[in-house]
Amino acid sequence: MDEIQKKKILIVEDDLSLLRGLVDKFIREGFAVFSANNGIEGLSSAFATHPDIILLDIVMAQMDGITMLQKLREKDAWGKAVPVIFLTNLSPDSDRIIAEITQDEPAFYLVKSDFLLSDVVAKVRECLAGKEKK
Amino acid sequence: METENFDQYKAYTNTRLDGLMPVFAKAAVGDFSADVDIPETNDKFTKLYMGIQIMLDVIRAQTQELQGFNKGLEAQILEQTNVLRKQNALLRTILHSIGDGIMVTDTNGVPTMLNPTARRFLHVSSDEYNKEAWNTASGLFLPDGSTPFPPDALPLTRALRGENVGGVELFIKNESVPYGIHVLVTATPLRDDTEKLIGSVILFRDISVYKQLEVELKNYTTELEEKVRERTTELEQYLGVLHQEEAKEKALLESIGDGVIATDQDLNILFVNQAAEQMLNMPASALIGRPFLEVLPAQDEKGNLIPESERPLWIAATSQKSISRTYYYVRGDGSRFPVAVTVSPVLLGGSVTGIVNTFRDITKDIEIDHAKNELVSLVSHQLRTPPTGIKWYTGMLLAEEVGPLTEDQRSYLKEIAYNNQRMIDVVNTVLNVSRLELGTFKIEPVPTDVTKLADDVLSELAVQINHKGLTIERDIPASLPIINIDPALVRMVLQNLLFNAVKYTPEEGKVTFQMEVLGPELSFRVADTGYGIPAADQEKIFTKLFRAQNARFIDSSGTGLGLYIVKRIVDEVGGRVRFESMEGKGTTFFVTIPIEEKHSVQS
Repeated sequence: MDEIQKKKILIVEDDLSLLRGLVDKFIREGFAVFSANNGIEGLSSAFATHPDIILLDIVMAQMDGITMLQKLREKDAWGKAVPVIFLTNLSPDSDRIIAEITQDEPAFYLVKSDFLLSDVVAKVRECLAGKEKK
Repeated sequence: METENFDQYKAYTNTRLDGLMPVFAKAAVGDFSADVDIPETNDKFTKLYMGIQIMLDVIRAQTQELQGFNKGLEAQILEQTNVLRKQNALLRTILHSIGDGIMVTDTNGVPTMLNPTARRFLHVSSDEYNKEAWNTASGLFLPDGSTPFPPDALPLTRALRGENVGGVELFIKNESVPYGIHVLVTATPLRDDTEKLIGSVILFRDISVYKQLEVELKNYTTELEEKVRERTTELEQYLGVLHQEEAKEKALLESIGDGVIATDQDLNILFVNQAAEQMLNMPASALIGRPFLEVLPAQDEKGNLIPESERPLWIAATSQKSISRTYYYVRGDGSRFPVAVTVSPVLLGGSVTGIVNTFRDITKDIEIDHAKNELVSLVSHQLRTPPTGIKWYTGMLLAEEVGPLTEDQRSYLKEIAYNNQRMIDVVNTVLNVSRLELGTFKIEPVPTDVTKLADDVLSELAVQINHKGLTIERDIPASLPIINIDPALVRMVLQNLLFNAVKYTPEEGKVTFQMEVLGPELSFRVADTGYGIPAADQEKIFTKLFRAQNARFIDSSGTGLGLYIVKRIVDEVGGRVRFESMEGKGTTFFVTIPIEEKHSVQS
């Protein structure tokens, strides 16, 4: 339990209400939580704090989640390896999204409205336990 | 012997010569039968006598020969005469029985022989020949029946001049032949063996019957011509109408906004309408007669050339079925544009006689589609966000993560969560319909555990099932293999059908779910003991936004999209869906989904 409590999670989400729910939940679950409101903030936070896993929204102002993931993966070895879960309300229909999934391999693509927060936590734990980078 | 005197010699000579007198006397009258009496003396007179006897013998012999020869000749002559007599008899018979009239005249035109037919024609009795020369006979007219035949031109006259005359028509009418007959006359000069003209032979044939037929034929022909004229006029009118129709159709074809190209059964271009010319930027003259597949290559989105055997034109020609596709046509200058193509074979008597290809430039359509896509994505994204917030917070509250709840608080929170979920479901449904229609769904078959899939869906409905006290009969073989199907799409089908079964079955009812793999297909059956679909509504049950009358009555909040989604998905993957239903008894849906061999297929 202590081990897991020290896990760092970066949550990149522009909707403040949803962000608060996520942050509260993960803190309660014993994570060290960092947050950002857009892709630019998210990148600098990621490289500064090196979280164990990143929850990434897609539709955001200034820099969206897809661009951020691209830049993350391009940057360095750590950026290439860190597990990322797309947490979005966009269905994975566009060619752009599919291309990104294929290229930069997020661990999961979750449509927010399909899941409770506890489901999201379970996915995060699954990811960290398997250390999957899918 | 020496003579004493001349008188003795004279008397001796006379005596010897007298012996010949009887022979000479007989010979003078042609009788050579007497022999010479040859004396016994052996003097010159004896030699004379012997000589004469020899002559007599020779004469006799030759006479006999001649007589024999004569007899032979006589026999021959007799024979020839018989033959000639027979021939003559034959000729007479022929002459008598011949159907044509034969008349022989002398050089003055006076008849010397008329055969029975001629006599019959001319009403002449056998005893009496009309002695009047025929070339002066009255009653000979031209075929018109009234103009007298010019005597100089009469066949008889001409024949007597040495001319061979054939086939002249005459009309004969006189006291002997009061009703008149039409005859066809042939006249030839008659010559002896020195080629001297000795008369003429006239042959004439009664052609009255033929003349009659000729008249009738003429009338008939006139009538026919009249009828033909009438018909021709009718036909011309009809053709005129047809031409008008054709012109209208042509104008119609030309004004169709879609390109229309027609080919023959060998896929050579026969017709190109104006719209096609404009879209392809090529004049019809450059296209007609050329092979369609050659002058108009097609590409997929990525620019790959589509092979001939996959072109709709080819497929329509070989399968005899209509086919629609979208891809890109490549113009002569290399530029390309997206088209929606429909190709239909023209069938005549069971075989393909031509193909009609209509196509539409869908550049605009694609732009609109893209815009729609964007809109749908954006809108659904926006619509999902607030309910996500509600879902998460109510979730945490219900889990008592921020404090305990009273029963009522729990209960009310559940209501909030329930309604919120309904809203999320509606957005998802509408989004799915939109994705199905825009074709954004890409069918991706992956190895799937369908048993788990089905059980997942059933567990989602567990709360509802318990709430209504429904019995679930689950019939799935234990060892169902992992199969290649698109799990997202199959899940949607199962969800919609099972959800409906649960929703439209009253309390204490029963829902049966049966699934199996049969050969290359996944097959399942969802049956309920519910309200059923009224017969009048069954036809439309798969149409978008349609709700059966009783369904509206049972639950006012349904979207009418569930079965539409099921049908769309099943159609897209190439499966089949059908149902049986009786109002008040229940409904059963049967679905088959093909299992893919290939790993992934684009929709």
